Amino acid sequence: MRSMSEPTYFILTALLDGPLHGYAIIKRAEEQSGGRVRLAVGTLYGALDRLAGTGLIAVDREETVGGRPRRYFRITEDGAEAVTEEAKRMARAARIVFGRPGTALS
Amino acid sequence: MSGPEPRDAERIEGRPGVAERCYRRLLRTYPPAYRAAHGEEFVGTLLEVSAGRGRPSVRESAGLVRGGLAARLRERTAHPTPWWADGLALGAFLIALSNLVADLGSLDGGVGNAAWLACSLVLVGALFRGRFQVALTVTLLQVLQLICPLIGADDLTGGLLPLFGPVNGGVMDLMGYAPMAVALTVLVVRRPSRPRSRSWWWAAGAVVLSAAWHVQVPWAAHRETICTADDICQRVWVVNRVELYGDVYLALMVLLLSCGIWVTAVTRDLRWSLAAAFFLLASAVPYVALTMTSAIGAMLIPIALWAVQAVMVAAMVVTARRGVRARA
Repeated sequence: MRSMSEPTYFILTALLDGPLHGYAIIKRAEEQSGGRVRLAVGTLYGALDRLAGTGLIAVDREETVGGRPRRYFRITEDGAEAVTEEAKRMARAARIVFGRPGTALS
Repeated sequence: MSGPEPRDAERIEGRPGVAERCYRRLLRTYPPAYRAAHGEEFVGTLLEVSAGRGRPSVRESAGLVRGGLAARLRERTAHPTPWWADGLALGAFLIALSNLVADLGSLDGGVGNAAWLACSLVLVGALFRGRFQVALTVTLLQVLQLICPLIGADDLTGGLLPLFGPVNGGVMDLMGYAPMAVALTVLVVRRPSRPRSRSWWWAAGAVVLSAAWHVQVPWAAHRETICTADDICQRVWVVNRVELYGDVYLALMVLLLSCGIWVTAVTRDLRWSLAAAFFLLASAVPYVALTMTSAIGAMLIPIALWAVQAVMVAAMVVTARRGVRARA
């Protein structure tokens, strides 16, 4: 399986702790990536549609806030498995570098 | 977890602000059904993201346009028409459109040409609406018109049909129509569900090309000696005029193929590369003729330009295949 893109990784990671709506996903992905991943709204919902289409996430519920609908997305079992596999792959790759003498993760 | 509540002051006052109005306009890039289902949610999230800003964000605006176009393309690939049928139909449509532009460019007002032009128009219209049987009938009629002069026959229909094909039509013209006839035969025999109508933006491309066919731009000048009948000679400046059609055609092709690569990257679908490859193969006929009739030096640049287009089509295929592997 090919490695997933960084935005996809942080979207799935953001949902690991429970369902979130679009704006919360944007904020969580930005925080957890240390500001590296700043998702534009159009990009985010395109990615959410694609991830829902491949079964990695699903719509959990819909609420109306301030007169506007808001969907909450949750990660599926397949999604959790995919993001865990990706994390393991990156950890294995990181160990090659940090396992060398004189190189430590700060 | 739930995010912060909307903080758009103008929204609270009940009047949409500049940012909201702009975002709503940009949301029109999304398909109508998608916009109806999720437009309000998008606006809410956009206003939350840009809370405190009076003006719309350039980054969010660009993201909306990109997302809207991508959603439209995904909607197209979700249509029940199989990818190969839509690809073949699009390729045939592009060939027909290209032929129509050439016919319009060489129109001399003659009755014969007018009938031929009418056929080309009907063919483009039929392919625009996905009417394959009508398109195949017209294509075979045009092929028949091209074959008759080649074999020295005045008529192959026993007097039913007069000849109205181009008087200077040859084997190369026939070869240009043959791939389209084959593709349309496949589509008529296999009977896939009819694809959606093509976009009117294609007509804009044809208009640009047709206009370029007739336009010559002044490009530098050179001195020439011109003599009258009385042997009075003088050196005058003569402005060089360059035909725009070739350059515009090439620029349009590169633009379309670049869009094709982006579209394929978004949809991970092979239909666009099939259409481009089909069109490029059909348009290779003049290059084949060139290799047979021209010196090597004259062939190099046209063939190199064709090769660049072929590489772009190959990039589309690779992009689509990567997407298929990633989904597997």
